[in-house]
Amino acid sequence: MGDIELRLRSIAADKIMDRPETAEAMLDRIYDQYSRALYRYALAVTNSPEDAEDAVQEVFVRLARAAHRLAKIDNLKSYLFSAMRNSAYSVLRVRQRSGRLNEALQSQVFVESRYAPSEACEEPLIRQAMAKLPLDQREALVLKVFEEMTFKEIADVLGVSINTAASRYRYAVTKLREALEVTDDGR
Amino acid sequence: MEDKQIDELLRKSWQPEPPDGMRERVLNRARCELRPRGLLFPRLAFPRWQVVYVGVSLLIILVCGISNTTRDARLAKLEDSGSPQGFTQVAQRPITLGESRLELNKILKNNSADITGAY
Repeated sequence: MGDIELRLRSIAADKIMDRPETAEAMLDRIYDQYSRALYRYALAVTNSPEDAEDAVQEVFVRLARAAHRLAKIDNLKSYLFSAMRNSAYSVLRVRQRSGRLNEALQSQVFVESRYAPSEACEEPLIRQAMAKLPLDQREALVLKVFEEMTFKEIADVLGVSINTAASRYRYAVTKLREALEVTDDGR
Repeated sequence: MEDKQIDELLRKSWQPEPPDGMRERVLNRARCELRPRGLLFPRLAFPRWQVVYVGVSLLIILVCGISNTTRDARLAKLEDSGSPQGFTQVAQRPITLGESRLELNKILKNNSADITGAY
């Protein structure tokens, strides 16, 4: 159990979470610890910085509404990422209904990442390969590589079996490797 | 290329940063949800229904007070205008039916006494 979970439990025991100012401090702390990871995951799903921010905001709004139940959450990280997934998909559905889905397909969030002069030539290639992955494989890849989740945790977040989570990750890595090897062969 | 190498390359090549100001926007919005709901005047921390209830009660008291005052003024005016001398006369208490019957009997008795007395 992480330190935030322990802190939540001790706060709940004193019913301090009933005080808005304490809940605010906890929200700030959770944001500072998880926001970057949540934003990254939302961006991988939505392919849009604006939509990713909206999705993150929705997660924290729900977190605030459920502040009195936070102490009962065993695994805050899984909870946050599950909520993040639901929120990101909700944003995608809204975008689809409003006819803005093409914007996501044309988005360059993976290709326009910061370019450093010392960047190896494989880095743009791997970003491009990642952009072309199917959404479910990209999700599994991001959760495994960037969040270093276990396949059990990934399965919980995605709502699939452990084998399915592992398979999606493996397919994703295989496609990335093929993209890099094609380039190597072509040199 | 090994899986670990691919993972490492991916971590290095994609490091998106949240947009500027996102922290304030997200947390300001979330903090609104922490405030107690249903308060008309949050500083006083009264529920909305209590404020409405007290307000309506005060309004009723005010209206009744104004109504009483205007009615007394109207009555006083009527009493003043009805008196030939121009001064206020004390309004007579309306008599009951029983009292009016007693009056009538008295009058009839006196009249009958007069009649019998005439012969």
